[in-house]
Amino acid sequence: MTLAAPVRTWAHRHMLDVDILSRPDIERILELSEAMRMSRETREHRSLLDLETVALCFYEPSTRTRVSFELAAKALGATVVDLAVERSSAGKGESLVDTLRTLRRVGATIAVLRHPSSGAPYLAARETDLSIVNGGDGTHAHPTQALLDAATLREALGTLSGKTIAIVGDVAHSRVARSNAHLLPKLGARVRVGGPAAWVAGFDDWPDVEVATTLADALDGADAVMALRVQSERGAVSGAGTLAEYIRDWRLDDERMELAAPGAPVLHPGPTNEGVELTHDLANGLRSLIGRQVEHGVAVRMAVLALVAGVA
Amino acid sequence: MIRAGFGRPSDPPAALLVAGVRVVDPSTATDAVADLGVADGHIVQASDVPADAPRIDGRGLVAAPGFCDLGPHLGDADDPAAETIESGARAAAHGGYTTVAAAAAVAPDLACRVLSIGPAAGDGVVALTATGVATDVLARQACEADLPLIVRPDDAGGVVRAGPTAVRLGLPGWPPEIELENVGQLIALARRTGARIHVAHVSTAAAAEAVRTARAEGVRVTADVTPHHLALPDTWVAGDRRFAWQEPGPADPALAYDGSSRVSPPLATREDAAALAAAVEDGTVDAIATDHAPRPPERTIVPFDQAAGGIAGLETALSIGLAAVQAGVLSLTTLVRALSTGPAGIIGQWRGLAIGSVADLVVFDPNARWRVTPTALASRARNTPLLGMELPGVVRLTIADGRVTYRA
Repeated sequence: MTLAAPVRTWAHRHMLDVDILSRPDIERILELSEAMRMSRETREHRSLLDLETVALCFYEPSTRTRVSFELAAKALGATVVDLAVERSSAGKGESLVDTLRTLRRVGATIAVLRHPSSGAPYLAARETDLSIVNGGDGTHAHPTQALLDAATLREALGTLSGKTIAIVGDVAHSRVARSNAHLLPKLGARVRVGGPAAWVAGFDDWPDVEVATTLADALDGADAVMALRVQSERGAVSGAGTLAEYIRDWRLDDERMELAAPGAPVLHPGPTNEGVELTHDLANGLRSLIGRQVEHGVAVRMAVLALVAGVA
Repeated sequence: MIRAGFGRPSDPPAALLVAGVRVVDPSTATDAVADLGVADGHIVQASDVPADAPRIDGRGLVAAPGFCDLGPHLGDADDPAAETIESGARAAAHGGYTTVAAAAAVAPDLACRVLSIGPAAGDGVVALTATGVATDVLARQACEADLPLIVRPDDAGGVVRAGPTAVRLGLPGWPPEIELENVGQLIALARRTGARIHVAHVSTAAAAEAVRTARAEGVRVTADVTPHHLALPDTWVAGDRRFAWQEPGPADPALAYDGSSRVSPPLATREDAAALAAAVEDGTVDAIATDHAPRPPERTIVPFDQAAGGIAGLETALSIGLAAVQAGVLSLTTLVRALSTGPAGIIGQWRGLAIGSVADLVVFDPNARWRVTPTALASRARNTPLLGMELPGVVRLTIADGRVTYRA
């Protein structure tokens, strides 16, 4: 008698943030992402989502997240519609919920939502029948970015267990930092956030996260360093001195990276402001994993789309 | 469903007997089981109730002076469809309120008495009002007219209380120090002018303490808290649905960022909520005021930072208070005082159940439970984070100014 392989169910219809994921959930996403990445050439998964219509709803400008979700959905055979917010009814004052309900009625089953308001994907999940994937909400969360960061870090470091990951910059206004602060400790890493005092305020209370207010303290012995985008479009330079002061005290370069563990790699969620968060040479040098992050981004988003659709 | 009857002032005067009811009357420090008689719209001896008048079995029920709310919004100024003065008055009667002091054009024939408050003294005005800060000129006008000056918090009150919840949710934090600064200015104003200043909707332990100290020094300052600042900690914004006195637990993502949990000032921490309850219990805070703020769905079912702040609270204030009583956070007599004689006294209204008084009372079952659903509410508004929850406390009878205004 042969036993059927156990059916692996996925409990989450939405991907709103990584905070509610268990370690086995995260391992499963990363495993599937790796399988997706290895098989992109053979197009083994090309019809996995052929019954799904993925709506890309980006209420904030985005290149890499939007394009990588689009490529991920298409690589799995989904129909993709791109809600061009500035050309749609959403740009005429239609409410978010009404726009999403309309997309559902015309056949969309999954919506990837990026929105300037923290929590908008939670509203969308509550008020519509769509499966919602958070593509970044306000200063709250960016779950697929954290997952691709974890995939990139694992590839570079082997394991995250016992490793110290420094996240440097405007932590207070960063959804990337928040999702990583949830995710990386679940994989055994120590997370240290560093930046001017106003940019790390309040993170003392975040479970499993250390706070540093000088670059030397932030980088000390770190096994990898993640630079955050200085979000001047969200008014973030305020409260933390001038841009020149930030560059003087916090910009990463090859010399300053010597404060970290030997050979520690550098990551950045992009788009980089070269010369502000890090130097051109560091961003394009041997330590840089920025290109690997982008490559993992498509695979991780393939995995997430397949899981929320219930087909993997 | 409200299988109810709402009455009006044009109805004939009430006559009925509530037998064996627990009478809680702060005006006479009464808390005793008795037969409560009403005839010709007045409190009478049970033996003076006409033989053919309805008789209510009062066992297990509580009778109290009618509730009084300071400053509810009976309509949404931006959208009258969210609430009309008629539906707002019915919500009040359903919640046990006989009187509200509101900035509303008063329609004559409502299920609730509406006393006028506003920026200037005039016929029938029971209090002057201001928002944020108040000027010496206004305070002196209040003095001359012998009226209290009710100062509401500024609406620019941030999105959520600064602290771990704000950081976690990525929402702009409101620094609680602002409230202490504002209350300090109001206390100084009361001290300087001699005006009776009522600080509406205190939400921090520090502000409550400032009021406590000022009163001990003889400054004429009073204060209220809302039911939501007493009972719903800021973790409700993250999807927690445990009261402030319960152990915190995991938040439910399905309830996170609910626009109806946005209020001004923002929901308090558990520690502040406990301090506010203690301030109600020791009399520093005189009143519980609902800050009833009806909003249409299109202004609450939006991203959290775009939501119109406010909770429709007239019909849940008693229930939240009773939940606090059952948890041992407030005593029943304190709750009744804070809902009835406390706020009424601030606007110069007498309340009590003594023989011969005009009947103005509420009878409720403190132990019966009900579920907060749109059809269970008389208000048109549904903007409350309590929606779907089961709460203790069901109003059976409201008599305002001698007339039955609500009967379950």
